[in-house]
Amino acid sequence: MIDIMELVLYEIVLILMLVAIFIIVLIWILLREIILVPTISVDTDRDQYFRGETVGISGNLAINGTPRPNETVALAIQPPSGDAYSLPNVTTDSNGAFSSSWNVPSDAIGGSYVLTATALGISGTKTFTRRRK
Amino acid sequence: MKHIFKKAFYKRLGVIGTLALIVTGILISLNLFFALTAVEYRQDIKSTATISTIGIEVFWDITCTDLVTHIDWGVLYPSDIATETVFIRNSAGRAITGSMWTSNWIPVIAMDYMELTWDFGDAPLFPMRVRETKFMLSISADVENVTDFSFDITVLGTETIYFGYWEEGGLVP
Repeated sequence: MIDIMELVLYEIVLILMLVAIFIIVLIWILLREIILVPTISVDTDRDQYFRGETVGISGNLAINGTPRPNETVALAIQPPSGDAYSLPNVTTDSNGAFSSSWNVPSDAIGGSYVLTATALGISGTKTFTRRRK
Repeated sequence: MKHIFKKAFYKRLGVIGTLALIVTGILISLNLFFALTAVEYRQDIKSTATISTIGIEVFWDITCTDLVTHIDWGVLYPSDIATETVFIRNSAGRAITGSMWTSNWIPVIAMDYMELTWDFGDAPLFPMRVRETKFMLSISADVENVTDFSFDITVLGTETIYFGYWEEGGLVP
């Protein structure tokens, strides 16, 4: 008799747990749909540049993994010291991709430069180097 | 024998199910935690400064997407120095120098106990360049009868014509 009761109890607990897991997974899926998580990536065509060379800039913007077209992306480059360079804004294409370029000025100091791209309130960075000749 | 096997099977299933439930619970809790902490919370405080600009732009970020319209200084105490970092961009066609002043202190007596400074410096800011700048609000140690306060900050960019080039330390003719 006790064994049967125990088995019934296990059956009930098991069903309840399965229902709970189903509800939790459902909430998880709904939350992922409701909460929009934008991601941005930015890259340069090389890691090192000399003065006068052109830095090729590219990147991607997505929300929950889906490419985000027609969004404005702001770009800036912070040298090792001194004032940052503000680049013209660019717009993402149908694949959520964006591109730009920047000519390393003739008076650019040597060291690490940080490229920052911002869109939809989030930022991505890429570090590159201005090599000394 | 069959009954014992079934019982053991259900026990094992129960343990696995419980573990799955715990893991799922932890995952959903983490998801909710990160989702909730991602929402910015700002206290409603009355010690603010409204910023207006002339010939210059002030932003919260280096990429110049978030315009600064006012600064919340938070809750301040005597002898405090509150600091806010902003990014100032020259969108004009020529190099500019920057100047800054305060006005419209409310209450007026607050200006006797507080001083606003910045570290923008004297070096010219060239077109489409962005300078990281700190505003520092110093509160006097003997401040009294001031609870809430507000004031305006005006940032002025003045076009500069100069000959030579700028190095750290000053203008080189």
